[in-house]
Amino acid sequence: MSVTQTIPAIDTETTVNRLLKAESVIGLAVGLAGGALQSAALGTALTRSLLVGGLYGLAFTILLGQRTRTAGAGLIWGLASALLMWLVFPAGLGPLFSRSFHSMATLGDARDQFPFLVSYLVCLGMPVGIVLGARKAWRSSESESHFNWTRAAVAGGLAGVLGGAIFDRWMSAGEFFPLLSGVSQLPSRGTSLVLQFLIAVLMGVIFGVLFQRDVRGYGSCMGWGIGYSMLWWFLGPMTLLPLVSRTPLDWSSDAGSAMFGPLVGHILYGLILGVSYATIDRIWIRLFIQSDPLNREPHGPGLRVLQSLGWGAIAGFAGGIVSSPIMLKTGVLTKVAGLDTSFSNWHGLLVHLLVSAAIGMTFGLLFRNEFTNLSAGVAWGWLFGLIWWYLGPMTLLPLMLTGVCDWSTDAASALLPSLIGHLIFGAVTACVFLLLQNRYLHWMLLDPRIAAREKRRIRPLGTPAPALWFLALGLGVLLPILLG
Amino acid sequence: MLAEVAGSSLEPSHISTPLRTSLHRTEFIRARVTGVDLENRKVKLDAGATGGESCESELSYDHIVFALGAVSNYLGLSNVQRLAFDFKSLIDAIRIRNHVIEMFERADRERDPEARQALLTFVVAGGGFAGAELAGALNDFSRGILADYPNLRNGEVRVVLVHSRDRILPELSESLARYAQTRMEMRGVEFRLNTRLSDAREGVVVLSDGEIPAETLVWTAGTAPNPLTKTLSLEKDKRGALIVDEDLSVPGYAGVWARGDCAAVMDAKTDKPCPPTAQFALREAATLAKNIRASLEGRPTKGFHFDSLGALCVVGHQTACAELTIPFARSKSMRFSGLLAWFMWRGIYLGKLPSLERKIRVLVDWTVELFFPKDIVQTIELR
Repeated sequence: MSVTQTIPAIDTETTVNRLLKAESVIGLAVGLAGGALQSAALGTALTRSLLVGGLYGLAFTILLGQRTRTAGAGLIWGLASALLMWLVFPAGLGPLFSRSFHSMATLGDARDQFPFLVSYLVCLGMPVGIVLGARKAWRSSESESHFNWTRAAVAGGLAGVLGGAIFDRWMSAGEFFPLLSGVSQLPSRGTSLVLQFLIAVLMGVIFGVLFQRDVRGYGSCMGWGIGYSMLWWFLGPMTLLPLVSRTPLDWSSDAGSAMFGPLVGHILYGLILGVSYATIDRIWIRLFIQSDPLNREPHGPGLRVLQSLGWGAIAGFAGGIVSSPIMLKTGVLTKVAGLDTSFSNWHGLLVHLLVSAAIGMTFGLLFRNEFTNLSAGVAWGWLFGLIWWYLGPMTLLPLMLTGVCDWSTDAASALLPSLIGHLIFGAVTACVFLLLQNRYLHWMLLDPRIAAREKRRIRPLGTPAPALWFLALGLGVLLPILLG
Repeated sequence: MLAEVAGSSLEPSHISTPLRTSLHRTEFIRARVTGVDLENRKVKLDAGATGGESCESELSYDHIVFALGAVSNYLGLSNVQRLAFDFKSLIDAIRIRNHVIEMFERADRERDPEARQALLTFVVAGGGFAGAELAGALNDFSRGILADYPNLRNGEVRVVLVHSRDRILPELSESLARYAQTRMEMRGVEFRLNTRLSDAREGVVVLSDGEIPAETLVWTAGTAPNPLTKTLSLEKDKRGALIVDEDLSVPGYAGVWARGDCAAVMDAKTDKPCPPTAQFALREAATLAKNIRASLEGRPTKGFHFDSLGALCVVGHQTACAELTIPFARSKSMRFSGLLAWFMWRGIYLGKLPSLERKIRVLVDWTVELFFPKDIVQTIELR
């Protein structure tokens, strides 16, 4: 018996080791290639860049290789690890060992290292993650079986068309083409519109193909949309479009600051794309998957939506109370309500809490099923707060008050305090929502069939959600500070 | 569409059209034909209510068309005939649906696992179009309504298709038949191929290779022409169908015609027997009507010829098989399966439904089905 038990274990171990070796070689090779690209783009010493790239490729394969089960997951893990590497080395430890030694890394040091952030993301994180993830997805029949190419292409393509049409219409009103930023000489208005629309559609199709397995609903689609659109900002206006228009690459923080408006534009397009994709994907699921009698739920459609709205309203109300001091100070929510920035009477506070409850309802709709524990809830809550910061005080609020979006670095710097308020609001809303959801599930889960269904609905462990939180929150908070 | 009624996807009244609403230039009499006097050209009618007092009358004719359809042929299995459900009419479909709901209600209260298993086992005899479509629809219906029966488990539900040959759907190509079987198996339908139904007892279906405890048996394995044809002194084939000439007239009697399931029609061009399907019966009707007019006007009649357009069969949720004949290359066909074939099936059947009103009703039923669970209300059963 012992022999029959040990032989498969050895075989499995050998197979894993062999695969790990093969993956390490691929990771190393892609990392080295990325290092060479980095050297060419930044003009740094080739040996050093190759060393950094090779080490990154190897470390990524060994530490995160098991998690990169698809190209999309690999991309998110790759970008997050590249951001972490930048935060630890060039931005964190780098200044400590520089000639002008000082005990703490300053904002100025981090700005100086901005070109490395771009190069790490574009030359290392993205290619290593995508290649390793794509290879694993190709070899793994299990993950292939859960992927529907038609659904990915149709939902992604239609989301790109829908999102692109909305975004094009919106941006063209101000003669602004964020997705084409970086092109030295824009063509005529009509051609620019078409080109921006085509890029938007391309982004949509790739979004569907990369992230079908990872996104679950509106909330996660918006989260992935933010992370994905940030990558496009680094890849498009900062890298590819200048290359296409034959202008030299400029990855400095000054160039980044000049591109801050397009960054907000990209993020908003990512949100529109995420919502469009989630809508079309939900329709697909409803028509072709949930309509199957074999997948029928005990509750009819509508009940979950009503529950989510109710719990979200209570959670948002609580979030509004906790975040009210900061929001009051920055005057964001009261401005939305069209009131004075001080709560001179109970009427003002009531409006503030009602607005918070309404925003909380959107949290319930967007992020239910994404988390079952407090830490994941807080992370999604922060992301929700970040989304509302970009959407609210950065976009909708100036649009409503002045009729113009102010996406400048100055405006972002002035609004940074309210970002903290938004993050607190998101975290508290998520925690209260989780409490209400768990209270309901504790007795519903007594029925094993409902428990099994809820388990299928909830985001499983092992998805790149933590990497996305780190990437989207990290870049979303860091870039306004860094480029401001 | 009967299978969709049995599977609670469609409302029964939405797929049936009253003859009175479409035959505006025709005198319509609802009555049972009790006999036909071919010599004196008279039809004996009983217009009494079902199970009530009889109300006999006679009707004389110049031309008579036998379009009596078919009934189930139980091949002499009297117990099966007594215990099994027919699947030939709308009422049969309604009965089956109501019975399935009844079985679930009883199983929900039943504590004996064996008795419960028998209540939740549904056996369909015959793997032709009717049997395969019904098994697929019953499987979807029974597993779909499980959500409303918390005491019952998916593993307790069995839908078994018994077929005497080595593959189902003999009317389709082997590849399509295998595809249908695989998809149905994936959805939970069990197959007992190369197996014959030999007998049935209360709660037990007896097969050639064993028994299945089951409270539900539906017979789709054979049909025979309407029993009225037996009373007619006309020439018949071995099935009992009326033998007709190429122009669909019955030889030996002027003004007597036959078409559809009760007639043995031979194709005028190929000299091959025409299958007893709605596709052929519809075209036979058109030819027959022209021939009656021709005979009234003293013109020569025409022989019946029709090349099959193909066949379609739904085997489960959004899954179908379609084999369509290629125009101008009748010996060749195109095969479709899965979602595309299902769309074709729905499109063609919707197009074939008489009246715009029925089309809209069915379209609404299909749309509602996408978003809401199947109805488990037991409708009134006509006895």
